[in-house]
Amino acid sequence: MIFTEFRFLAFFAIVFSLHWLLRGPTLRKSWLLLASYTFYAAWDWRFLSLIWISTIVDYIAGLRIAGSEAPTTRKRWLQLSLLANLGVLGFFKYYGFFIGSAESLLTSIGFEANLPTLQIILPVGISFFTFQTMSYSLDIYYRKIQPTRSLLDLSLFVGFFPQLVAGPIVRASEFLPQLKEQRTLASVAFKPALLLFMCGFVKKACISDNLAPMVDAYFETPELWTAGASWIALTGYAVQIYCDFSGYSDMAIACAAMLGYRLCLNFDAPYLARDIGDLWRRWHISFSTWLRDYLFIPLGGSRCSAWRARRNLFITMTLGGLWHGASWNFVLWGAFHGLALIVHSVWRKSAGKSLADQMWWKPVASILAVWFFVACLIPFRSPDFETIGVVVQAFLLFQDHGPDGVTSGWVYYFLALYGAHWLASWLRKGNAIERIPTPAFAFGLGILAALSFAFMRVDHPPFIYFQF
Amino acid sequence: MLRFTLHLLLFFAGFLLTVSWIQSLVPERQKLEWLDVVQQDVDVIFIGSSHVFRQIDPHLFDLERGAAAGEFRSLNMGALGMGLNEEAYMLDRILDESTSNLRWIVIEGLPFDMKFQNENDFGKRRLEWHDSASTWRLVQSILQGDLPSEEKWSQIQRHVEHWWRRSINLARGLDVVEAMTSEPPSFDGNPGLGVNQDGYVPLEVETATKPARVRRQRFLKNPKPLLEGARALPKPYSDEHVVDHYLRSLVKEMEARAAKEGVGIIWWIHPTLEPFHSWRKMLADGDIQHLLAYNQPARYPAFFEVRWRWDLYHLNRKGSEMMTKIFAADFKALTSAAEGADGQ
Repeated sequence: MIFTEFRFLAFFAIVFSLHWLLRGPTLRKSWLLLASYTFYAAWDWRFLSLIWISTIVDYIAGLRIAGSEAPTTRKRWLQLSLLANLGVLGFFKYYGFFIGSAESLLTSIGFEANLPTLQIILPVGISFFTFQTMSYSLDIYYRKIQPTRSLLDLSLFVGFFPQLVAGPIVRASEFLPQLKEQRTLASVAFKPALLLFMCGFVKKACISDNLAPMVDAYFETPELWTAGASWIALTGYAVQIYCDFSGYSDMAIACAAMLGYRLCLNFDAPYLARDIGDLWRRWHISFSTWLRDYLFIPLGGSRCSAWRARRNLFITMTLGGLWHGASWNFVLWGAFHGLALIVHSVWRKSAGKSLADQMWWKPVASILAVWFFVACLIPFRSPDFETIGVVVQAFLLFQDHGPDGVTSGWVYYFLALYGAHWLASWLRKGNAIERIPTPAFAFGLGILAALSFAFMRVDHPPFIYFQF
Repeated sequence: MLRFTLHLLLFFAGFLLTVSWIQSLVPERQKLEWLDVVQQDVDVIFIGSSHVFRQIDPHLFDLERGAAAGEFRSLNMGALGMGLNEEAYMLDRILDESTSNLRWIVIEGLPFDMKFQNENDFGKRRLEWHDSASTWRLVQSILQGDLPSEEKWSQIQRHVEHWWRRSINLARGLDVVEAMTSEPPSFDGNPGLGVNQDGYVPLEVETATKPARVRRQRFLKNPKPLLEGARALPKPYSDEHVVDHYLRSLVKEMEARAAKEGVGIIWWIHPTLEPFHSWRKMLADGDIQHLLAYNQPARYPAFFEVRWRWDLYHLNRKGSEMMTKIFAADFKALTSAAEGADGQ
């Protein structure tokens, strides 16, 4: 069940109605938890057990860490929590990758390797909910939060359906206090929430899904296309992935808002970033801040020697790449971004300092950052290293591989992307929407819904980030 | 509560007005637009899948039937992957046009597959034929049929969902934009209508789709299934053969609909390797009036020779010409007999 499917709209209408009809916070939370598990079970009910394991382990670990002052005991319980979460993630997501890589390595140095391989299904959203639960134990360990004594609250924090399968990666410190708040239907800002949902719907169903066939066609046979086509296909993919993921985040935030909960911002017009560092502050914000707080800073952060700070940045970004998928392509993608951030920080401290204030430099820096981001999508989107080679030749060396070009229809999608960026920034100025009279808003929303259905694809391709 | 209801009504008002506005702009499929232009000249129309689209040449058919055609012409309205439900929809659409000179519609007899395995499940054309009439007909038939109840409901849910998607113009926005921003369609030299503007595009290297070219290569590499299939084809037919409930009711409805407009239906079975006993049974039971079947290797051996074939499922251009000529002769004989019987 995905957010752009009609059955999700029906599901949400039921969840929403009953949620606000029920009296008392415990009943409401129980209902939301049941709805969340039903939502997840629509994919595969068997993997609900992983969510339960993760929840129970962190529930116990959280209480034990907080209940002890002995550093060794606290550390042991934290290790148990991390081991359980990373163990689940490692087995389901990375087992095949590490076994395959080890086998290739052994073969290349002359050993006959026959390591045990397994056909493992990747449970949807596993990278998101394991990171979320880990942050709970880590925050308790670092004494940033107190553990919850309510298993119901923790279960809802882990399983809350709007963000369960593709984020935003919510922190316990942001979500758990909300479960204690009294909420009423009257306090929900419906207009911004409904418009945000529509905005996300349009981004995913009307822009991203319609760009997918063009991008897929290019990456299936890059050897048949011109260099110009590679530029259009890669830029198209940048638009596709942004609209896909930020569209999902918008819909998740909007659904949560309609149920009375606040989720953090996940995208902030990334393609209008000033530089590559700024781009990463605007792209998948909940993930990049997670990496900063739970990986980069524990490694030493930037409060150490320049060399170590750069090393920390590189490790963080490379592991961030690996988080996206069990493949060397993603590792490469993360490593490129790590290097770019290092180069950017060095440059900013030297030559860039004087340039940064120049008016003409700002658009140049912005274009360079987006271009680099687009170029890095080559390993991210390519199925194998052979494809990476062909696309790099076309995109960076302007080599025409074949006669096929791309039609001019893509222009509409770039215009739509600009519209989506503009609408997102307008939406954040909440007052503008509130000023619209409700009858006019309702009528306009009806028009927008009818238009967006007309521009959907006939099928419902899943969100790209579901595979991560 | 009153205010909420009012806002909900306003939402639906905006929604429905926009849906109707878009619906009025959705372009018609090309062959129906062309029929609208030439409808008064047409007396015979062919409907069916690629077997019709790729194998019946109306220009040659008109030449072959000669004087019988008189001042009229025939038109091929076949389309790739068309199934029986889409044929029924096309029949409705054609009969809705004021085709006063139309006398015969040749429809391909197809096997019925409730799961539509041979069609693109999410294709726009599938949504298109799920109009209210077709969907209602399907739902009724499914309810009356003997599927297990779980399967019944899943089928009904699926068809109703298709109907709903069609009703809200799902995925038609880009077609509307294209129709609004481009020149009105020109039928001169339109490749979709074929060189004679009669809707026939034979299977040749230049006109075949990529999957069709792949199928050809596979067929040329191994034509054994054709030869073996043709040898095994004369399967014994028994009067006890059971016709699918839905197939029979749909076919009867199509016959009645055409008869009401004074148009005759000729069911045509192409040189397939399947026995298609249901159609023979329906002819025997009087559900259909006319059947011309070419899945008979003993009578039409050439259709089952490799040199006349494009692939396992289609004839090549030469084979199609042969098919059209034979069909024109059979058509002439059948229609003169039928019209003679009507005259008496």
